[in-house]
Amino acid sequence: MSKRGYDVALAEKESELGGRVLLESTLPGLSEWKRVIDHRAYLIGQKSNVESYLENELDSRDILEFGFEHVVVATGSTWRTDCVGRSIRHPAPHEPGANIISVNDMLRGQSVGGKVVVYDDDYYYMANVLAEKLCQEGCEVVYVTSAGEVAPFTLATLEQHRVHGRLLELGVEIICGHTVSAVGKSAVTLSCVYTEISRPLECDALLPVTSRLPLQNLYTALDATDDLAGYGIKSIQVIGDGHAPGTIATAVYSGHQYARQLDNSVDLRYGFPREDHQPVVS
Amino acid sequence: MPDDRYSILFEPVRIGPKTAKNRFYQVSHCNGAGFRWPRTMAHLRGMKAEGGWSVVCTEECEIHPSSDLSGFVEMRLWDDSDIPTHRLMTQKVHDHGALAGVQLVHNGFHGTNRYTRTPTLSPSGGAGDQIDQIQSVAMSKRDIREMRGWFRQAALRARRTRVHAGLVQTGL
Repeated sequence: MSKRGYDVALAEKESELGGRVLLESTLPGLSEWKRVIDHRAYLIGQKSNVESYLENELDSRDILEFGFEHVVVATGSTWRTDCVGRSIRHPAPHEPGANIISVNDMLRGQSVGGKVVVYDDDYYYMANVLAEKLCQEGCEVVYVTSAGEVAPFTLATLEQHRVHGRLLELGVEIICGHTVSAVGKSAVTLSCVYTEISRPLECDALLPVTSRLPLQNLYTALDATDDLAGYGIKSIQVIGDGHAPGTIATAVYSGHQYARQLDNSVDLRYGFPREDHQPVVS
Repeated sequence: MPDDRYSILFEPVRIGPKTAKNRFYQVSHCNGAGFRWPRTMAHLRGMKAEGGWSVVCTEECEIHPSSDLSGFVEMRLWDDSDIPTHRLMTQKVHDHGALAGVQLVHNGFHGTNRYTRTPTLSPSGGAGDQIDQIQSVAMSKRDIREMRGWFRQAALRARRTRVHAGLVQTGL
């Protein structure tokens, strides 16, 4: 947006730019991901028409009163703790007092002990990286996944062999083809995805890594405001994980696409030039 | 001569303004050729018609870029540039006296959007049922209105491919 000549005010809730990458780049093996922030923060720092305001959480009232013409909301997402994901569409029942750890808390440095079940219905890096972190902290780790192998999305990135091997080297017990269908204080219930046969697995804690919820309170409040034009606002949009939780690359692209789309009559989302086919000439 | 018990199968049936010459209705059949290898796809459908089916349908046909099944090869009717591909098939089906049908699909969170790189859509949002690392967006009323429009546009486009029958499916 800066390159296209807009004056930009960037309000950041935290004391540093970077969002989830700040947290995820502290996990085992992911430190180089911080380059995503370094690159972007450097570029932003070079721009005289971008002002960054750190530790500046805004509510909808603040935003309406600033007099901005366009508002783009990038409030991110939060990991679910109820086991809902691609395999289970309704929350898994849990006993009161069951020890369920959230990915969000793990990312912010919560320490965990004892025997921990990591339940992976996400299929990429988060579950296996957190399993490694738990091992480093001295936990006994059981990795359970609804898939037929560890982290199946990494088959597409050619990492699966290494990822699976790493967990074995760390001494993680691997149980494939099972969901976590109920959570108790001293055990979780595993259900076979093929036969639905259930069995208990004793543990001290469960870490579900299943799916995320977009954080849309701010966007929803703005979108519900009557007479946005009266506040001088021409458009409001939510982008990135706050729109559709995905990879870091997806979130970066979402912002890039927003900036190219603003005041642009060509529909970049659905109206792009196709090269998926060679049209048949009739 | 066929057994009398089966003769009904060979009687014509009226379907709206059209008549199917018998009761053998080839429902949607994914074959892996689709828009990527359109002549292979068209010959397969033509062969079915030649073999006697009265109606021969496409496979899943994506109605819109927000329902991109890339990774699988099916059919597409995203815009008018897809129409000639469909006509390869409808021509061959008609050559053998059969009716052509199309399966118009929006796949919701069953989609991958690996090519269009846009979030999928579904009534409640959430993780998709493929391995892909993009969650679907919960549809607003505006999104629902838009999707109805996409189905309408795809149906109008399908008519221009010279199909006579259709079915509509969502994978939401």
